[in-house]
Amino acid sequence: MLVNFLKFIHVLLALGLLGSVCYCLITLRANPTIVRLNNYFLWLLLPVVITGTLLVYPSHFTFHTPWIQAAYFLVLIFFVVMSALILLRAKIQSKMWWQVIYLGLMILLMVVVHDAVTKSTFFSFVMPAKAGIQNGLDTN
Amino acid sequence: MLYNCLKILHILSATLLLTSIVYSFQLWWSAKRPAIQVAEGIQTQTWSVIIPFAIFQLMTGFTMISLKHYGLSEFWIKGSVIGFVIMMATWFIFIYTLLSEKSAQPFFRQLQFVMLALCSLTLLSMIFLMANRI
Repeated sequence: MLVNFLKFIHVLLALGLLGSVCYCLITLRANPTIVRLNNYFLWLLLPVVITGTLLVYPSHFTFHTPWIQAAYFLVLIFFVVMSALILLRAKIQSKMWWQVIYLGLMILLMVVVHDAVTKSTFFSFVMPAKAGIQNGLDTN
Repeated sequence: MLYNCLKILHILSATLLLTSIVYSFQLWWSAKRPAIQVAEGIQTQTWSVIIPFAIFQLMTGFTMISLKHYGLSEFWIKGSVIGFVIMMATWFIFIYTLLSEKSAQPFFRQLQFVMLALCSLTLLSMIFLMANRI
């Protein structure tokens, strides 16, 4: 039951994070001050990562599973980019650049969703031969 | 392949639906703008985002069920379908009371709050059922 609850929280917060980034992307032109929400994204990211980590073993995966490693890597990129946005907020004046960055972050999160649904890395979709080696399959 | 694509689209449309509902709630709750502007904003959200994506959710959901040959008698499927009906009903009652001439009256305001709370609770229950397939 605890695992079910953790999965529910993980899915809910992940949807919330993706939705919030999408909301910022859409409303940025009308409301430039929306960038102040960037701080909350980091706080929202923390329980998503914690619940995801706690779900690894109960879901019969390991931390060596390729798509899980890819998810951690992509979340790390998200964290670094978001932290940079918070620190450099005053220096990025162009709304277009903010939209491009939010679009990139949204694509990043969508790749994580893709990996979680398909249980394979997005890399395997783009380059099947290399992914066979990556996922431990012999494609030779 | 088709199932995974549909599942990803189902999740992404659920995200947009959730975002739109939360935005509408935030509009209604803050009440900083004139009531007529709030009602129009929420109505726009309903027609442009909530209804189209709710229909899309239904379509992708049933397509995935047929692809995986799930039985319609399974608890999480029954719960999700009933939850969808409850969600739509409560949302439309909320919109109706919002657009009513008496929307500013305390009773209607309370009814709107109850409908929104019921809608949110139902949505959370649906997410729980579908995430865990209980």
